[in-house]
Amino acid sequence: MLLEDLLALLATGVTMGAIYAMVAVSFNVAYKPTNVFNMAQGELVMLGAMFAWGLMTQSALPWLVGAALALAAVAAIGLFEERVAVAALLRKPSHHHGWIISTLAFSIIVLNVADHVYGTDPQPVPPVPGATLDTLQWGALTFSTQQVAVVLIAVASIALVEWVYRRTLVGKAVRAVAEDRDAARLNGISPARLTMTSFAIAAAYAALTGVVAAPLLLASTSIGLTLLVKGFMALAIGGVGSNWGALAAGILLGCVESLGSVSLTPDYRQVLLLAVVLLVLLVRPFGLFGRPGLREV
Amino acid sequence: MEHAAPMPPPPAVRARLPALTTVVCAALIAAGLAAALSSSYFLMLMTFAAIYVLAAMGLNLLTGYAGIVSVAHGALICVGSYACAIATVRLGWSFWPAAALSAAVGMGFSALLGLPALRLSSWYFVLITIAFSLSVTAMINDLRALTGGYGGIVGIPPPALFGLPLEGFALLALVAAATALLWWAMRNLLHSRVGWALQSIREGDVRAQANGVSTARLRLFAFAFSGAIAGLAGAFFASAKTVVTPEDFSFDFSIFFLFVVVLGGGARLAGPLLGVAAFYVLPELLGSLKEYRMIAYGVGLLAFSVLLPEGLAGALAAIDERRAQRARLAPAADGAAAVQAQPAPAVAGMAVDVRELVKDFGGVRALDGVSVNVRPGHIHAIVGPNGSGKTTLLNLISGFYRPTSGAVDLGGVPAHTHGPTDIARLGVQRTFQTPRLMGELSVLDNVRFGGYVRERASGLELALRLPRALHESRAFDAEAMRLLATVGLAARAHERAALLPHGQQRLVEIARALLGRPRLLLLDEPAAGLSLGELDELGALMRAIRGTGITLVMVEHHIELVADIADTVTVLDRGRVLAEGTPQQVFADPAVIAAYTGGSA
Repeated sequence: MLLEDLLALLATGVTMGAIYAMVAVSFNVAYKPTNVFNMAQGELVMLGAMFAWGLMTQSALPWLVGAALALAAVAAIGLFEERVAVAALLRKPSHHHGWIISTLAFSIIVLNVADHVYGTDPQPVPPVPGATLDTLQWGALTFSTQQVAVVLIAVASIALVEWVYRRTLVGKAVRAVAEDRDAARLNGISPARLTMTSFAIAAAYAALTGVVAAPLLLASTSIGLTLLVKGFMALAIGGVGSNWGALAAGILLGCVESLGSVSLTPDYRQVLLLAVVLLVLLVRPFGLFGRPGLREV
Repeated sequence: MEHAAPMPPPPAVRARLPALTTVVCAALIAAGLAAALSSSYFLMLMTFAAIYVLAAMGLNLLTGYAGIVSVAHGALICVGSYACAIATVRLGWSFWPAAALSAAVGMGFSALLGLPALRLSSWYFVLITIAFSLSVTAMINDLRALTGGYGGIVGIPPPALFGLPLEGFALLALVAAATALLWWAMRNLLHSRVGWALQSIREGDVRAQANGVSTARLRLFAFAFSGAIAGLAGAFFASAKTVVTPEDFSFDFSIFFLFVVVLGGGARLAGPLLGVAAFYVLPELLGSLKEYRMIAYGVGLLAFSVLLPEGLAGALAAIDERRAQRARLAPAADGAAAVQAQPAPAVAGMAVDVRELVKDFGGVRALDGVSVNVRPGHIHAIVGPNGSGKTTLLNLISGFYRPTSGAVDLGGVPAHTHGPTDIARLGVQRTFQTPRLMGELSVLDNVRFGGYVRERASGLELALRLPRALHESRAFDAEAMRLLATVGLAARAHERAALLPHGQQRLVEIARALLGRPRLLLLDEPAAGLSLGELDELGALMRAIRGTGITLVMVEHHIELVADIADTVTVLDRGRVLAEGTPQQVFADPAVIAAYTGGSA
């Protein structure tokens, strides 16, 4: 294999990995105060991409306006999901895993409604302002500025999420609720409000992922399920709750997948990734950067 | 308390109307068979409905009873179908060995998938199964040489019996017979220690482990069982279709089985039948809805999971129960045989030797060098203010926590390196501060679950009601009834455990623990929530338990009870032993009095 080919594959791998990592981080944001793993997160990414297509390509709105509207709309949908599919079940301790089914049901509804509204054809979405999809040659390295933009946005947004958790009052409150819901309530924190906020923000973040990934992946209703699985894989390998771990794992996955494309069909790559995840989970059940004992009964 | 209590006849003996669930299921089966005879379209529909019920019953064991949500069931059926198709068409096997291969392949894949789930939170498994489903459909397209790619495999033969091919109605009859057999076997299995253990792991491992259940092995069994059923259903599916193509096994197909199990009613035998009737047969008949079916499924799933988590079968059962409660108001006149109250046969009690035990939680030292010595056959009480480490000590002895340092010897065996399951198998039983009964099961079944470590009949014997299983079941039923009589609850043996008040649930827990024939019994605040009269009875019960030789260690706040019955007492305060000795010595100790009256020791 030529050096140029190898570098091009790695560039693709890192870009895809950054996207997977963003999906994983959006899981984490919703998971932290609730211990609910939102099965609809992948479809929320898909909605971000479809809305971006509708607003930016169809309605020809400027990128920033379109992105803001898409994020706001998906955040509202995330909030709606929290209200109808999660809130009631969190109150009932006896069905403490009922949310698996209810959020899965929500994702099925979103996917199938989107299929009816948008059809199944892939659609183009404009790149981030200032970036293009044209390839640049930089020594032996070929890449597009949109790829650079995706990686930068992923790193910057993860840094921002970490900063919020560590430095702001809201972030500390989320960590307190994650630690002990009842104790946090005694300290004047409202877990219910934080749960709603976290779901809305996680949905907006998922939408952002969709908006920046869509120019590369094309917006179609089928990307949600794929990104749900890949995002989960990044999360599982990186360790639940660890955002930088998700980035490292995402990039690892992206590169394995991308390099695998040399000799494997897409279908075999899927199996290869699943095998990698199963192996990691068997050896390190809490991922490479996670810590055990998140919740004991 | 030690008086003979009348044994009420089990509900089945009482003459009453058949359960609503039974009536509805029978009507559905009869209507289905009649329709199948009337036209070839209905015959096809009912054959697939029967195959789906069979498959969904396998998933019900995993998702409904054991509480492990899987989206891979459709993919496992797919694997089973292709195994059967490849074996019959490509290799020329006849149907029956091919079907056996299908079941084995389904079982193997399912167990493989389940391995990581043995240690992880259940939602990991959901996503692993989603990834698996996507991979399977993808691989089938890719392995063209084996699977025929998009074209699939054509010409799968029907099963044959004595040289006669079973086609059309005969195939439906065969599938229906297989489903009926599975129904019967699952009914037997689920009403046995295996079924109780499965339901007990659904809501956390703690209770199951305290009862000596190896939760990993049990989960693996659930995966293997549901996978084998999926594979077998796949073989029938391939045979009924005669052609298998990748299109048959879309991702929606996998989701479909989750719908059927959850909406039909998880952890209820009739759930899959009701689910298939309502969510497969009905929509097929209303063909025009097809386009919006997945949306309707999604909305239904969401609504049920929030509003009616028990599903259709649960709703029917609730109606039945309301009716049964009305019937219970009428006096049950017949056959009140007396049950002899009897605690347990004599055993050799277990000595407890706790040395210099330290337990840290993060930065908090809950126990700081605690030593406790209990002689066999004694009642030892652990008292102390809230937060002094009493329950922590109990959790360390029963293996739920690992000590930071120090040692626990139980009957001379070093125990602090063992988990709760192993310690239960050494002959240690415990109760919990909040009773952990399975509310949906009867009081008697809850007590029977306590015999888990003692029962010898295997799952297969239990499922097929082989002689040893039947014999054991009768013996344990009788013993459980005697123990219930001992705690004064024989009259409520057949009620749902959730209907009992808190104090009585605690007594049921003691009866359950005793059925395990422990040599050491750990009780966590047995007196909490009991009335004065019940307290006296509890005291008498504990003496009777001591009389059989069992060592009793209890955490208790009720000082009078402790002073009355304990042989020795340890007082804990802030993780340290404040005083120890007989109750008279301890409660006269100034340091103890100071700790209890709020002063600092």
